[in-house]
Amino acid sequence: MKVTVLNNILEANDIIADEIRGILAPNRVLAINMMSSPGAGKTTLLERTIERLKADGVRVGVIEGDIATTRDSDRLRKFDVPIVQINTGSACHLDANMTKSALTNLDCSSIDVLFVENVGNLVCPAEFKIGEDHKVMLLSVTEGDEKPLKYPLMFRESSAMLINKIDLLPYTNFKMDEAKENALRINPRLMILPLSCTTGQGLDAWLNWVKAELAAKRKN
Amino acid sequence: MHEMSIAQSILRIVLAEAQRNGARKIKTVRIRAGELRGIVPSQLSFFFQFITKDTFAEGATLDFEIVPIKGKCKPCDNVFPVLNFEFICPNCASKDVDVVEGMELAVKEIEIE
Repeated sequence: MKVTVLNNILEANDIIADEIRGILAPNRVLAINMMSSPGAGKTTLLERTIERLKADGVRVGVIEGDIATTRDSDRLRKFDVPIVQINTGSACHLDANMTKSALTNLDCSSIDVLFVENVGNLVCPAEFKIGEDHKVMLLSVTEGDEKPLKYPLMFRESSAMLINKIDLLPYTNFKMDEAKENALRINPRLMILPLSCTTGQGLDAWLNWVKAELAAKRKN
Repeated sequence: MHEMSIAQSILRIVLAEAQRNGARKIKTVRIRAGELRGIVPSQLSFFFQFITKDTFAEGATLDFEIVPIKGKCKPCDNVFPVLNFEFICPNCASKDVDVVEGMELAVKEIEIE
């Protein structure tokens, strides 16, 4: 016997993602899902970002997702901001359920911007909504300019793409124009910001983007 | 590896559906997967086989229907197939294109006994 089902496989996740939006809404917390391959510089970017936003009076909270270890959250402790660590065990991405349980350990009334550092991976994190306002992905110049064509969903779903480690450009064969063109083919609305967490070049544009998004969220 | 999470969701859905229909065995599960989802059928089948052991779905096969990406141009309403992930309207060259097909991920049908 054949039975028509037509059930969205990711529905269970999407329902919880909506619940997370509900939890963040009363305090109008801006939630940013940070995604990249391992080693692109997510944690370093967070260090620079927290440092600068804190100086500007923006209250930051962090959910750290890793398969194992607390190394990344240990690096962020010095900033004295609320951090919740999720160890996914074997899962290669954060899902809404893990994020929601992490949120119970955060006081949403005391933060303006929530950064969720996803597990380093260019494929799986893009599939699972976690109640974020924006997906932001980080591509580093040591990874190659063809990445957008290999991992289209992540580039399609992201609001902004940060191209990190531009201080290393002279030592790589990364072509900035091609990377931008490849990414914009898949997502013409993508905001592209080249930067270097080492030299600080380009960080202002990124921080201004975050602050503008926060202001927009507070206005609504 | 997100195929593992997806396999678990599929199993949850089909077991509930089988129970609702009083089935004792699930033979086939038809999956509708959009091209943008980047699902690897062989990998998903492998995980599914692994987690269905000792359930009504043990031995069930997964059939895949991959849905190609279709875009809809916002300025001119043209609906067109998106090839090579190029979201550009062939009619008016606009890049303001919504995805109307290619993001599906659903259990479409099951065959039960």
